[in-house]
Amino acid sequence: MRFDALTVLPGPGPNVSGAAAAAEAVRGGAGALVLQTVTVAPGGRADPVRAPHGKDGAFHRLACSPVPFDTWFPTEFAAAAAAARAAGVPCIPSIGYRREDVVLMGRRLAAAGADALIFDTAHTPTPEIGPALASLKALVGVPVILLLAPHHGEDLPEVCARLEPFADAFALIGAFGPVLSLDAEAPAASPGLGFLSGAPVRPIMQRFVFAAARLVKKPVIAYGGISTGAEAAEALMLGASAVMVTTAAVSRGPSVYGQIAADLRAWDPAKIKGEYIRKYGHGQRVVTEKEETPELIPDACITCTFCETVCFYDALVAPVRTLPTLAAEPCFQCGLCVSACPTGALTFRPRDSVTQMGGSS
Amino acid sequence: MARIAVDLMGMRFKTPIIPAAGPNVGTGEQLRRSAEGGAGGLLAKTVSTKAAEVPRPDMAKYGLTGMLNHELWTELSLQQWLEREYEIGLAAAREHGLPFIASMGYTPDDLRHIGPLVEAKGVDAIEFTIHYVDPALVIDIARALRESVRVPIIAKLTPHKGDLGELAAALEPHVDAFACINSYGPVLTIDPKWSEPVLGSTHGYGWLSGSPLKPLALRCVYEVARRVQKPVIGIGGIVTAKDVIEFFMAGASLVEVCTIIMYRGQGYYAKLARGVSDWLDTHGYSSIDEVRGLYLRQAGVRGDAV
Repeated sequence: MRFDALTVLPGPGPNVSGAAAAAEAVRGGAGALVLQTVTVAPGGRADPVRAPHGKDGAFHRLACSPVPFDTWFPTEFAAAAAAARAAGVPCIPSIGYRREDVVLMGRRLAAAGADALIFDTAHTPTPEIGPALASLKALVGVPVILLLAPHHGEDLPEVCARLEPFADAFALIGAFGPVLSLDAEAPAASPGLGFLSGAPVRPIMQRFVFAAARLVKKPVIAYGGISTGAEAAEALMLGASAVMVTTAAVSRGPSVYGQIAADLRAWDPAKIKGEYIRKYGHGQRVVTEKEETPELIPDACITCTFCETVCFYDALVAPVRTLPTLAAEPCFQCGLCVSACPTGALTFRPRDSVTQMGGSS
Repeated sequence: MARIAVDLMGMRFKTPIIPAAGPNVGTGEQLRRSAEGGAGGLLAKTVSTKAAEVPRPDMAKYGLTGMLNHELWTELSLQQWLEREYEIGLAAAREHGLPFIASMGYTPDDLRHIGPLVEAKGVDAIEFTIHYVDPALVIDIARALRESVRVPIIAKLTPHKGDLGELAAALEPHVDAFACINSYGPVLTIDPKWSEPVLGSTHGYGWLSGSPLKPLALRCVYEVARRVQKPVIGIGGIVTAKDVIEFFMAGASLVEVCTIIMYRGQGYYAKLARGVSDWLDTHGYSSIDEVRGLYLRQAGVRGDAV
């Protein structure tokens, strides 16, 4: 199985809860038929609690399919495998969590035509991940994608490097936690402890993808908060070989995979893949002096005053309906105004080329 | 109007919302503006033996109310804080009738050196930042400060794998309160347009604060509050008055804010405090004390676990 840089895969979550939903995802442009994680005895690990966090985040309990493997295999998997064959895409079921369970399920799935397997470690005891992966790989011939989240430790990139002989690809991170979700209106009915996915975890995912891609040669799949082509491009630059999407698909429907893939084409994925690693894998020159200062692109400024609000160094003055003025001397070059400007009207320039910016409209 | 003043460690905070250490309280002048903006108490930016050498740029907005930063601690010298910034901040605190908390770090030697110098300025309490997870090391740091000053000391914890309550329980005999939590990292965002770093650190790494952090911060407050008797101060991603209530329900006795002040300005303290008071009124509470631990207690009964 080969990962094309344009491949947008469904994450093995509630977005692909059964064969029908997984086939919908493929029709929506997903590059493979992925199925929600199954296990032998789902029990409490199938907890369907899912609550929005902000505009584009989600709180959940890392749930697997509520259908036990023995029931799921002859029904959902059989239908999914047929749908994948009909659509000409790989069929990738996801299995969890304990060693004896993934070995049992993995053998049957590989024999029944799964093209690859995701080993979902969400509820696997951390020390068991390596042995379970090794056992699985010893018994199945198909590629195994290892899905790892940081609740197993902050050393995920090193874990990937250690397990590289056994895994064929890594998917990082899917979710972050544990976290706590409270409902002030009804504290006793609060969701409680669980995990966070979606946009809030994207900077966390990107650090792990970048760090892992620097350490391992096998493909790293970026999984966490990606919802646009630009965000997928960012992940590819950081070294990802493909992206996985769950939260955006849950909130926006199965067409999101195809939209991300289509938008990504504009970025020339083959060219940008690993670009940030090539440029900054060994680090950039760190500047602790004030070398630059923001410069205004007057035509882009909408005089919203936000740059003055976020300037805590008394360098920017931006009265309503007036172009901002910046004093280079107190400016700390913190960068907050440049990143916060809603229209990109501020850019950094060498300090000696900009003594005073400003004017009035 | 519901009572929102908080009595804690012998101090009276006018409202439950005070600054968290950051550029929002990076100078005496900013401390004065925090007081004028309605902060319930003051807390100054973290000082250390040496001024921080901060990579530029060191802050970037993420989403609507999130931020990546590589702020370290104050870029001003300890001498400047002792001679000028604390004077201005303390004068503002006295003028507005607010308690004043200093923040410092990081090694036992740093704290033994800085603690008495800052205490002599007349601060009411000292928060110290802990970046480590090794309990033995952390206790050494707490004891160094405990043995050097008489004012209450607050341990500000960093999120890490496992139950933060374990670390807090080990620290409890040596400190007067806990602050949970520091920003989380490292994390990474880049500018995809040019495949360039946004922050000036070696790999463009930063630490995450603001609303993305809130669920993690709530968990840490909850984990610590269920293990210790001493007060817990909540920090991380507060945007609205309802967020303040959530932190209290998880077990917090006070909250600190930085990121949202950077986006809304120093006047936002008063708006948050008013919102808290209104929320309590609307929900039939006469004091913020009545919501503290509302989640914590029922979760204890339920035996909450992931």
